[in-house]
Amino acid sequence: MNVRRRLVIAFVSVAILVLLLYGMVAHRTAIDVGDTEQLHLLYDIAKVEAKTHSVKPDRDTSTLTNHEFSSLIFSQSADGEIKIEKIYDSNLEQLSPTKISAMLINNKNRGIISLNGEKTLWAMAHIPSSEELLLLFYQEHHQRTSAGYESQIVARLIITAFVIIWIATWVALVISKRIVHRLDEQSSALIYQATYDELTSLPNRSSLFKALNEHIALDKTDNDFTILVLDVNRFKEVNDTIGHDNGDKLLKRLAGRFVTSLTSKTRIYRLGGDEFAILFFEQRPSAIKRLIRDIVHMLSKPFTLEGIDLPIDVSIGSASFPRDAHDASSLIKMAEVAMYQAKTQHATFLAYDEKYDPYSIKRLTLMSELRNAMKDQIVLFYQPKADLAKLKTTSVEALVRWLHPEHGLIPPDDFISMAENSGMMNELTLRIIEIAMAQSHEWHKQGLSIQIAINLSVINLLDKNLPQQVQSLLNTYQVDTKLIKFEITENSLMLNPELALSTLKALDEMNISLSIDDFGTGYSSLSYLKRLPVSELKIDRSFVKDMMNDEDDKVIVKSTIELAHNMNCSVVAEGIEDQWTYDYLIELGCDTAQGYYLSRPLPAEQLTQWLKVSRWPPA
Amino acid sequence: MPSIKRNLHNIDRLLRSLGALGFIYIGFINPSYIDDPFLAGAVGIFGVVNLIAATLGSCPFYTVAGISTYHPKRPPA
Repeated sequence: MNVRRRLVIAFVSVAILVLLLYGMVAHRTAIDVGDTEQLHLLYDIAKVEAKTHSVKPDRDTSTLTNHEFSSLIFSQSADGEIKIEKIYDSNLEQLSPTKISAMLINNKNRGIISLNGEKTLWAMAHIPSSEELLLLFYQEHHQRTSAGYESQIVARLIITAFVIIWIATWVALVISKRIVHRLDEQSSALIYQATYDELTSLPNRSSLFKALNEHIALDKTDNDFTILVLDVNRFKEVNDTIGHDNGDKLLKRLAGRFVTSLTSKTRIYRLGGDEFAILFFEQRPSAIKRLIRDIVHMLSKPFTLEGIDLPIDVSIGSASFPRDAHDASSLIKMAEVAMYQAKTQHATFLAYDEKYDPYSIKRLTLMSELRNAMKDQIVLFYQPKADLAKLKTTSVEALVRWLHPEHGLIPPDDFISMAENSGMMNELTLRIIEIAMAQSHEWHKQGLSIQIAINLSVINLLDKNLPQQVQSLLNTYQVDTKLIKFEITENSLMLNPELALSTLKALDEMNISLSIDDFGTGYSSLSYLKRLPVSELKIDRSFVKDMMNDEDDKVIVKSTIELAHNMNCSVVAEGIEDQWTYDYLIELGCDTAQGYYLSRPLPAEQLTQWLKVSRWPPA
Repeated sequence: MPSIKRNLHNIDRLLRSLGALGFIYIGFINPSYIDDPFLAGAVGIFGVVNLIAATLGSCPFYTVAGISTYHPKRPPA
C-alpha cells in the first residue's frame, strides 16, 4: 500500500506541477493574444478617426471621449519635438510630450502603457492632409469584458486540470497495482526459495533456525524439544553408482517417506546434501527411542530406483533443548557432532555427548588458553625404561601434561590433537624438547646419565626446520646427542613417508637415536621400515598387557622381538604391569622394559628419588 | 455473461451519484458554465459513466486498480 500511496502522490504532484506551468503559460498567452487583437482593432479605429478628423477638424470629439476611449492630437516637428495640440480627455492631461516621444520610439504606432496606474492600450494615426497626428487610448475600465474573457479561460483550465489529475490518479493506481502485484509475486517466490528446499520441497536449514529460535523464545516451561540430524550412509556411493539424477530422486522419495510416516510431534527439514533434520517436541529418551525405531522401520523397505533395490540406512545424532544448549546454532551443531560420531561408530543413533565434541566450549576455551600455557603450564613426567640385561635404568620417556590452574593435570590426549589442529604443535614440541633438555642438563650436573625419549607428532615430522631447531636447543643446553631420543608412532610416518624419512635422516645424522612407538598397531610396510634410520622398536602395550593370557599376543611379542633383532634394533616392551610378564619378557630376550610394574610416569624430582631406591639403579 | 463484481460501498455510490448528477448538469443541461461544447460533453459523459457505475455498484477503474470500498457483511457467527 505504501508503494501505491507514494506512486499516486508522485503522479498527482507531477500532474499539478505540469498543470501550473502549462496553465500559467496558457493564461499569459491567451491574454497576450487578446491584447494584440485589441491593439490591431484600436489602430484601425485610430485610422478611421484620423480620417474623420481631417474632413471635420472641428468635429465634436465627445464621441471619442467616452469612458472607454480617449484621444489627443499632437504635432511633431522635423527635429522630433512634440507639441500637444488638443486633449479630449482630462485623463490625458498628465501625458507629457517626453512620454509621448518615448511611446513613439522605434516608429511604433501602437502599444500598451500604464496610465494613472491602469493598463492602457494606445494607437497612433496620421491625420491626412495635415502635419498632426491622432493618439487614441483605450482603458479597460470595464472589467466585465476582460473578466468574462479571463474567467472563461480559467474555467477551461480548471476543468482540464481536473481531468488530468483524475487521469493521473487512475494511471498511478493501475500502475501501482501492477507493480505491487509483481513485487508480491517476486518476494513470495524469494521467501519460498530462501526457506524451502527446491528438490524435496521441505523447509531448509534457515527455516529450521527460525523455528528453533521461535520455539526457544517461547516463554513456556514445557517447550523442551530434541533436534535430530540424519545423514544417509554411503549416499556418495549411491550417487556414483546410479547417477546424481537418481540420487536426487532418492532424496525426494526419502523426504516423501519422512513426511508421510512421521508423527504429528515432528517437523522435518532438509539441511543440505543428504542431511535431514527432525524437530521433535519431546525430550524423553523413551520417546526419542520410539522415534528412532519408527525411522529405522520406515527405511527398512528398500527404495527401488532404475530397477535396483537400494537399502538405505542413516546415522542419527541428537541434541536436546534445554539440556545440551540454549541456542539454535549450538543445538544443530551438537546434533551434527553426535551424528558424525554415530557414523564413526557405525551406530544408527547417538545423543550428543561433550566428550565426542572437538568443538565443545570447554575444548575451545582450552585451545585459546594453550598458547599462553606454553610458557609455564606445560610439565613433563618421566617414565623409566630399564635395561633387562644390566637391570639398570638407562632411559626415561618424557610424557607431557598440562598443569592447568583450573582443571588440574590435563592428560595429553585432551590437548595434543587440539595443538595439532590449531597450528601450535611445533611450538609445543619445541617447548617439550626444551624442558627435557633442561632436565637432562640438570641430571648431568647431578652425575646422572639418563637418556630422555621424546615423542614426536606427525606434524613435527613434516616440519623441515625441526632438526635445525633441535640442534640449536642442544647447543643451548649443552646436551650430548646420545642423551636424547625421539619416538615416532608408526602411523605418523605414513602421512607423508618421504618427508618423514628426510626429517628422520637429518636427525639421525645429528647422532640422535630414533625409536618406533606403538609398533604393530600401524599399517606401515616392512620395506619402508627397513629404510628408516631407527635403532629401537617399542612393542605396543596392547600386545604386552595381556600376553600372558593371550597366546596370539604372546606370538606377536615373540615374533616382534625376533624381527627387531634381525633388523639390528633393540626392543622395548611397553605396558608391563606384573612380575610374570616381566620375567617372561626377559626369557624372550627383550632388551628394555617399561610399565607400571617398574614405575608410573613421575615428575622429575620424584623420579630422581625413585632412581636412588629403585631395583633398577641408573647406569 | 460474467456477473459484475460489486466494489462500491453505499456511501461511495451515493457520493458518486451526487457528483454524477452535478457533472451531467454542467455538462449537458446547463453548459454555460463551461462554454466549450467539447469539454462540456466530456464532463457530461463522465457524469453519465459515474451514474452507471453508482447504479451497478461496480466501478471498472476500481476493478483494474484492485480497489474496493465494498466490504460484504460477515455472516453472523
